[in-house]
Amino acid sequence: MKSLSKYTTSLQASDKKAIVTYITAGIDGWIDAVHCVIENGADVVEIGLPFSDPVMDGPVISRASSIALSNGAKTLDLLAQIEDESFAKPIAVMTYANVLYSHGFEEILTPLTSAGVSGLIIPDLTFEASESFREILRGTDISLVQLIASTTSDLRRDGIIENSEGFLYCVAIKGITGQDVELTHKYTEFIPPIKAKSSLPVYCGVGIRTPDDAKKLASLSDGVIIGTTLVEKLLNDKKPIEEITRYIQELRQAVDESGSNS
Amino acid sequence: MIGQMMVSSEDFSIDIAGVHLDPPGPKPQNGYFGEFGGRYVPETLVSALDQISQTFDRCWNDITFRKEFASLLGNYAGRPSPLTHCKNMSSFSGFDVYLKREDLNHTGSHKINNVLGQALLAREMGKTHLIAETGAGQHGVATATAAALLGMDCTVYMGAVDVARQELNVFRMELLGAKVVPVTSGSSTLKDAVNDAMRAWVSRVDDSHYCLGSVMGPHPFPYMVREFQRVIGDEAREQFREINNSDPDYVLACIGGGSNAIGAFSGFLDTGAKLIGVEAGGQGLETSKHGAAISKGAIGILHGMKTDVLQDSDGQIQEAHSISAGLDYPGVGPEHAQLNETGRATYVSATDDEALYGFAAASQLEGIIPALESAHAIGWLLRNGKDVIKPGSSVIVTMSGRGDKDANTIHAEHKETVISYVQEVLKERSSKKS
Repeated sequence: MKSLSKYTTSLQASDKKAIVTYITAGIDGWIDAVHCVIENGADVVEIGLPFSDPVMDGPVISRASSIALSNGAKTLDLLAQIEDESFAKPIAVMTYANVLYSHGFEEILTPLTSAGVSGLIIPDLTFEASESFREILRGTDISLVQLIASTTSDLRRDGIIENSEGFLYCVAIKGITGQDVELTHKYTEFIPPIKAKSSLPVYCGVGIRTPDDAKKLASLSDGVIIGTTLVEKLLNDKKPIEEITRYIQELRQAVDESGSNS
Repeated sequence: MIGQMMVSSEDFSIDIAGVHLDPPGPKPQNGYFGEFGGRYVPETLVSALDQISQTFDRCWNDITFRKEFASLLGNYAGRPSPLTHCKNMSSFSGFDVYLKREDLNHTGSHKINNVLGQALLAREMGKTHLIAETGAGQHGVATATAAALLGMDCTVYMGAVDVARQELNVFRMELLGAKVVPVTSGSSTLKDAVNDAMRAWVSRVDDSHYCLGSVMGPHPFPYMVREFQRVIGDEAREQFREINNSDPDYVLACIGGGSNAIGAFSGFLDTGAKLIGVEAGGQGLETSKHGAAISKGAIGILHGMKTDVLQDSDGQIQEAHSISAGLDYPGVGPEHAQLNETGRATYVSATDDEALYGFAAASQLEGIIPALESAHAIGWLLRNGKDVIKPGSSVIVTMSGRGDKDANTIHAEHKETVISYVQEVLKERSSKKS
């Protein structure tokens, strides 16, 4: 078992719901923000390597990506910075297929490994399209996290669940990052069967904004993934670190109150 | 009214309302044209793409669907479009030039062929809302038209820059009942309009069909759009044979995403005709301001497909540049990337200036005002064709659209250049006469 899977299953075994926090690399204050979320209760940090055409992202993260790129952010430099910081919790990189493909799916593994990255989330690399990359990753300690959505057909669902590594990323809404989620009965319907089938922990993400949303989704799963709200604070607030500290602490409390794993 | 009808149940070819549909063409293996194509999309969209794929496979081999599609092409869109033998341009250029007149279709371009097919398909799938991206506005107008015809809602995403330079088309879409959303992210052009259309589709996938306007995007779009557009080439081949009892030496078309070109090329793949695609050369391939994804790009992943893309060494997509909004796109349909790799088609480029020359020349020589996109193909043929094509060769050029939409911009920004080219053509024409 790869190290990220070991870590997330150990959280699950100790009845701890996970918080995964997303931060776009390359915008002002991003490194401080990563340290801050780790100190205040995040279990895994998803670091976004910016891409010019992020189709899965809403206006906030898209804007952050544009700003990072206009700041001159480069993939290898950002990975070198991640290496230098030696963050205290597991780091997963979230980016789009072309960012990795342009460097070469094999060639990029060395800088990813040196940076201590233990997971990859690539929202436009579907399960089928990831086949050869999964083969390349087989001999490494980098987990390729698979995404599953409410629209995923039964036919494809089992393959995705069986082949995910690190955790299973359950896309909570039919939408893109940062959209307001409406917690209707649909979520209570589609998440439990996925969780029942998955041997890995199931984390819900996309569209989760408030501690209350997080609590509801964490009660159905093994954890939540939060991004837009943090990036928004980093982009807009005068004292973002204070705001992020407060937000993560509230989130930690809400998620911890969501009930134990069944 | 449906005209005389002939249907072959053997090969699904159809003759109806004056329109002939050839049997369905070859399907890409697992969604790939060689190493190009595929499906690189958010997981939420995969089931919608599967649904489109299955519905298209069923309908495209269903006589009832094909009859309805062909009937709309004939009775509504005005097909078949003529193949015009251009005597003046021929004696002017030294080539035997024919124009395939997609400019004469309803809504003014080849876009209507694809849109009618996809709108019928959307209805089959029970979708009530069409989403589209548009550059020049031609595809947006065509989609809004089909939505009006079939009683569907329509939202068109259009780069804010393009909204400004294609004001009249924005009004046409609104007149047809569509909502036009200006896109301000990125470079505010076609690439960004595709991003926002895909985001909108992810968010409204249950009731919406993304009516993609070119042979690009995730499988099955490059294949399906080619099939809806292949009527251009199949018609042109038969029309040329009727006149000349042979096949043309060359087929020439402009390339943005590449739908008019692939439509034309697919009718000639099995013939001896040489195929040439003309990309947007912008301010020159030696500058960074062009849209020549095949000539100057590298293989990458954009908008759901693996194909030739303009990008930097870090995989960031670069902004394209072209005088014509419809060619202002940093990628190209994956089948073109394959045709280039196998050498079956050749890809060249025409600069903004050469396109203006083509615009003036087609207008003056033949009384046909071309869309700026199509003017790239004409401009390349007249200015640089001799480098590649032997004098006397027969050439079919796809006139992908008409130039009315561009008249305002050209009048405002390039009037003097274009008028000087008209004078130049007039002078050369009269010197050849004497």
